[in-house]
Order: sequence, then C-alpha cells, then structure tokens
Amino acid sequence: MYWDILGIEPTTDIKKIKRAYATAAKKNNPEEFPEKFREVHDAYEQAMKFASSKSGAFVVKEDIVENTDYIDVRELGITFEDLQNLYVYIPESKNSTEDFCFDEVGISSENTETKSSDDENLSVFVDKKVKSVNDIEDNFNFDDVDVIQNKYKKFDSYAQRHKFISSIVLKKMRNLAEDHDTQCSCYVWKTFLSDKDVVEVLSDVANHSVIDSILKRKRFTLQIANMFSYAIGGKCKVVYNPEFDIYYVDVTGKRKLYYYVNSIRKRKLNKIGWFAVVLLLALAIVLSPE
Amino acid sequence: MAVIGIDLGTTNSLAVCWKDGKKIIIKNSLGDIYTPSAVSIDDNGEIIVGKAAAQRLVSHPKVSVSEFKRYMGTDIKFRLGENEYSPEELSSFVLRKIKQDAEAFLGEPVEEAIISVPAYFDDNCRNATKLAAKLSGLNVERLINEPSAAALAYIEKNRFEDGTYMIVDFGGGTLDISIVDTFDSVIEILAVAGNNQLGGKDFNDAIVDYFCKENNLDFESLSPESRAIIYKNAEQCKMALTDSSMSVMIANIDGKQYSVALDNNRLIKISADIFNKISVPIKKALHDSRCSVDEIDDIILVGGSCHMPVVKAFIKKLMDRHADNTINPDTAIAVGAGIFGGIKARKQELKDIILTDICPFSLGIAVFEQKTNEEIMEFLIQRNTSLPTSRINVFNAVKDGQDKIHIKIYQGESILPAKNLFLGELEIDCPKTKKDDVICSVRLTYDINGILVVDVITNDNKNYTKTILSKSNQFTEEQLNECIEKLNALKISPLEEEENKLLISRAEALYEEALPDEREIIKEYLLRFKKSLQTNNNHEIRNAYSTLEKMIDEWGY
Repeated sequence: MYWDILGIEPTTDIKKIKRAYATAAKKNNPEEFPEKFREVHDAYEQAMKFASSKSGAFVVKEDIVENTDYIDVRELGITFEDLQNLYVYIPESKNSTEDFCFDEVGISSENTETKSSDDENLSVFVDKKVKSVNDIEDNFNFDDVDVIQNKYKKFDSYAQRHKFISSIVLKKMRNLAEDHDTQCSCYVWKTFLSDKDVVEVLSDVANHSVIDSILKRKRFTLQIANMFSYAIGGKCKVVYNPEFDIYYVDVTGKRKLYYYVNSIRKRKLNKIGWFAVVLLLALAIVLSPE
Repeated sequence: MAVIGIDLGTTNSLAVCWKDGKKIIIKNSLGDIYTPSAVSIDDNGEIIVGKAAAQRLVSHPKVSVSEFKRYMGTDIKFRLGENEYSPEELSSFVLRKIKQDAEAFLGEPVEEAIISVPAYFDDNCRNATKLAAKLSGLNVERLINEPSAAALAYIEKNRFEDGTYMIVDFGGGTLDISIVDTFDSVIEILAVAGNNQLGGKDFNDAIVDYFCKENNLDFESLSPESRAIIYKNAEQCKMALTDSSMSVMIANIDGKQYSVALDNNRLIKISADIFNKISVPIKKALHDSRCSVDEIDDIILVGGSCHMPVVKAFIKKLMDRHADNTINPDTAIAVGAGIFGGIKARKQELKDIILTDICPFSLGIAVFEQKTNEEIMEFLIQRNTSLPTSRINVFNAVKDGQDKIHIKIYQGESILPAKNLFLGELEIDCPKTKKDDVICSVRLTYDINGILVVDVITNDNKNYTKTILSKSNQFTEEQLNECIEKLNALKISPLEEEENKLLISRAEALYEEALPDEREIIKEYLLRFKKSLQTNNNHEIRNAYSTLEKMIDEWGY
C-alpha cells in the first residue's frame, strides 16, 4: 500500500504528502537506490492522485436535456469541416502601418484607458486599444493573444468554471455579432466557433435565451448560419428570408417567422380564390337561363 | 578528478564545474566563457574549433560549419574540404576543446561530464550526444534536460525555496518549456513540452523574408555570398533591436545598396507565426502538468532568444505577469549542469538535493488490433513520467496456436507505429497458445541514465531481457576505437601556440623599450613563461601566460 511506503496515514493534505515524499526520497536517493526510489515515487503519485480526487475539483457534466423540435444538421451527414470548407471567406487584412507606431499607441492609450475598468472578465479578450504607457513592454502589439491566465484558472466546481467561461464567451460573441466587420466574416466565426469552450457554452440550453437575444435581427450568410446551427448542437433553425436574400438564426423557436407566415397567407388566399371561382362558375351554371 | 557540466549549445558552448562548494564557470584558452560551437579546417588540414572557426564561417564558408547540433542523430554529413564529418564527430571536436580548456583551467584531469540536451531530443539524438562525448574521451553517463538544468540553477540561487516554476528555454534552435516543482529541496519536473525546430533563427528568416519582399529581391536566385551577407545583417538587425527601438538593415548586393527599417512592432507583425508557435508548447506544458497558472510562482527565461524584448513582452502578455530576471539566461543551463555534476558526484553540500527528471516522449510497443486488422501502439510509459520508471502490461495471443511473439518498441505519441521512432525489436518463441489467451507480459524499464530495458515473461515463465540500444549506441568497442583513432590522427590546430608566440613577441618588444630594472622583471616573467611551455603542463602554461599578459597590459606603452 502506498501510504505505508510514504509512512503516513491516508490524508488529502498535499503538504503532508509532499513532506513524507521528500523524507522518503532523501533516504532512498535515486543515485544509490534507483529501485527503491521508484517505489517511493510511484507511491507519491498515487497519494497525490488520491488527494486531488478527494478534494473534488471537478464535477461530472450533466446531460443537456434533449429538445426534439429541432433538426440536427449532423443527422444530414454534414460535418462541421464540410460547412467550413464550403465558402471560407478570409477578410483582407488592413494594411495601415501607422497603426503600429509607438506614438500612436501612446496617444490612443490615454483616450481609452477609462474603458478598461468596464469588466474584469473582459480581460481575457483584451481590448487591443487599451495599453498602459508606463511599461515599454506593453507598447508591443500582440493583437490576437489571449491571456491564458484566466483560461487555466482553477475553479472550485465545474459549475463555477462553466458560468465564468459562459460569461466571457457570450460577451465575446455579442462583440463579434455587433461589429459589422466581424459579423459577416466567415473566418472570424469559424475560429470562434471551433473553440472547445465556446461549443460547450453554446450547446448549454440555459444560455439559449441570451444567445437568441444576441443573434436577434442579425443577418448572416448561409454558411455562418449553418455553423451556428452546428455549434449550438442542431437545436436552432436557420431561417431564410427571400426578400433580402439573407439568413436568420433562430435559437429558441419562439419568434413568429415572417417568411412562413407570408407564404401560408398567400396559399390560403389562393384556395379561397379558386373556391370563389368554382362557386361563381357553379352559380353561373345553375343560374344560367334555361 | 572533477565532474563538469557542459552546455553543448547550437551556437555557443560553455562548461561549469562544482568545486569546493561553489560553481566555477570555466574560461577557455582565450579567456572567454563561451566557446562557439563551430568547426573549421585550415589550409594545412588542421582543425580549428571555437572563436577562430566562428570567424571563418564568413571568410571560409566552404570549410567551416556551425549549428550541427540541429542534425544530431541524423545521417546528414557535413563536407569540410576533402572529408565528410557526422554531427557527432563535429560535436566531439567541440567537446574535446572544452575538455582541454577545463583541464587547463582547473589544473586537474577531467574525465566525467554531464551534458545538457534539449528536452525534446529523442533517444537517437541523446545517444548521438553520448557518442560524441565518447569520441572526445569524456565519460558521459548522464544527460540533463536543458530546462531542468536552468531550473536547478534558479533554485540553487534561491537557496532551494519551495515553489512551482515555469522555465521557458528559447535558444538559437529550440524551444523547451518545463514546469518544475520544489519541496524540501526535492526538485521534480512536472511536465516538459517544446518544439525542436523553433528558435531565434526563425526570427532571422522572417527578417530576411521581409527584407527581400520590401526590396523586390528573389532570395533563391541570389549568389551564396549575397545570401550570407543578407542573413548576417538580418541577425545583426535583430540583435540591435534588443537595445534600441528602431534599427535599419542595410545590405550591399551586386554594387547596389538595399535597406529596410524595422522596429519592434514591425518585427512582431512579420513574425506573428513564430509567436503563435511559442504559445502552443506553453499551453501544452500547463495542461500536462495539471497546474493552473495561479500556482506558478515564477517564470524563468533562459536561452539567447529570451534577450529579445519582443519575446519577453510576448511571454508577459501571454502569462499576464513579469518574468524573473535575476539569472543570466546565457549561463543558466551550464550552471545547472555543473550543479548536477556536483549532485552526481555526491558532494557533501548537495547531498540532500534530489532532481527527478522525466521522459519527454511516450514509450510503447506495437500491437495487432483485431477490429481493424492493423498495428497500433500500446503505450506502457506515458510521456512526462518521472524517471526511473518501470511499467508492465499483459498481452494476448492474436491467433490460435501462436508460438512466436514479435515485440517492436517505439518512442513517440502517434497511434500509428510507423509515425513513431523505432527503437528496437525482440523476437521470441513461446509455447502454443489459444487465441485471446494470455501469451506474455512485457515490462519496460527506463532508468535514470536513459537506458531502456525490455523484459518479456512468456506464459511458461521464461524470462527474456534485452537492453535497447539505438543506432549510434550500437557501435562495437572496435568500431568506437577505430573512430577515436581516426579522429586522433587529425591534427587539432594549436591555437594557443599562435597566441603564445604573439605574447612572446609582445614581451620582447616591451623589453627593448623598458628601463633597466624593469627589464629584469620582464626577463624573469618571460623566461618563466618560456620554461613552462617546455613542460607541456597546460595548467602551468596558463598561469605563466596570464601573469605575463597582465604585466604587459599594465606596462604596455
């Protein structure tokens, strides 16, 4: 038993385990007793595993309740890659060199510094304009770097982590959807939606009303709409508006759909029309002078 | 007898010795701590190693070579004049030079050494390094991973305080990340990740590309000389950006002058790809160590490329904190290797320190998967398992009446054996076994010196053991001696001799000008130096040389 090798009672106190390991390791120096040291180290690993599992850092994820009203694009045999490869549009990078001068950065930092206090969570997706002038290292422009600090933060429970990640992801999504440049960029959405954390957040039913509010009245191309549909787990409708040749994404399915309503009304009118014609004809035949 | 630690670098090498309770950085015959890892052959067919060879890289590119560490363990040969040399042989020249310098500096024979290697060296590269040491006459039992060595240097400096650290080792040709935990002076490497094809050299390439693009030059169609000029200037431009915010790169090609201005932000833009690549192993190491960022107490930057402000800034941005700057990024690895030499020699003051290293790659055997009728990997030792380790697994028969087992051992992470590094195989007979019955158990043992042993126990309790030796380790004693003799036959240019002659002529010139009573002193020192040359004792020569040189420098007109 590994506790015997370490010479302590079973415990979840990591410091205690480490201390026991350090004492045992010094007694069985790997230079002199490699075999014995290996046993000690294996025991230490087992003990650490025990300690970390008992403190219950993570909880198993609950299954998302199935909602059968929606069609899963995955059932149609289309993969996410297929969707991405269909029409990948890569936006041309803006080549304004002035943006990257030290002076320019210095000036803009004064103007935008007040913005930074907005929300702590936002720091994961750092606003590229927010720079501090004090530190020369901060003047360098790393646009696309996400600080990994928060992503690898330890949370007490799965739920807490999920909540935290959700808030960041939804904020980022709102920014992307409201910015006109990024809204119709397939490339941006592709990179965003291929993140594991993002998919996890989007497929959570609890977030769907928020997602719906974000995507409400936003227009997308078919490919982007399909990517959403895939990322959200097939639990949303892609709605086509022929009038503007544009696609909407409907997550909750609560909204009345303009296109459907229209077409049904048209069809109803047609039926009534035909009925009226037949009726008139019949009347005409019946009432025709004998 | 001293044990020295050697940092055998891509561009520079240096050695450190743990002596009398402290670390001593060994200076070479020129008084420098760095010996460039460059080899050149002069007109007489004599081999030149070090600074002189590095200078000849530009003047005699056809007979000079550097950066051969990148090709350790491969079949690539370098052509120098008439002969071809393997990277192992070239490394052995550098090691031999370091050995001689260390013996002269310490005044005692050096036979054993610890050599640091990138964590992402696989078994082939590691054994090639050991072979190079053997060829140079050094006994190298142990290699140390470079980031582990850097960690050791940092932890020794902080007097073995408890903590968890991340080491970013970004050198000329490799990037290694490791996460290290210390507790009660037991140092444990938790995870290692890296990219052995990423280094400061890639920044040079990016600058070269940018330079050519801006000036509408086609790099491929230029002559080798012009290419060398552009390349050298690009490197200088990169280095200039370390201290100044702006640098202009100028190159004269075919009588025309081309130039381009570069600042750090522009450098970031043109090398965005490199930064993306840097963040990958950092995330992987964090993930593998199961450590959160909050638990990391300090970030330690080592390796030449960490001098670049853009790299520092990137790490700071990525990790959202400042990195430690108390240790010298250039010497940290050698110092760590030297300390490890002290640990290995069981020096009293380092007696209680234990460093457990890990194997950076997974080890396993190929098994037959019946569902798909193909060979797949079954890993016994997973990557980042601490050494020494031993793992056992039981395997079943594939067919009815199977009476032979073929065990192939691989190193790597791919599920397909063909994509991994093949280390060795073992074919054994066993009693006939029914399908799906247990046929044998396989135990892989990977010891502290990186030697892999396979134990197979068949179901009739017969035990087969084999030590796996990689290609460069399969040299027989005779082949090895032959090779050593071949290398011994080569004359290594006595660089000191030239220097000694230079010093003597300087002393003689001083003697002519000096006053009578000064003359006596000069004569005394000069004769002492000349006498020491006759004894052929390197230590004595060094002492006499330095005193004479000091005197000349003080009195020189």
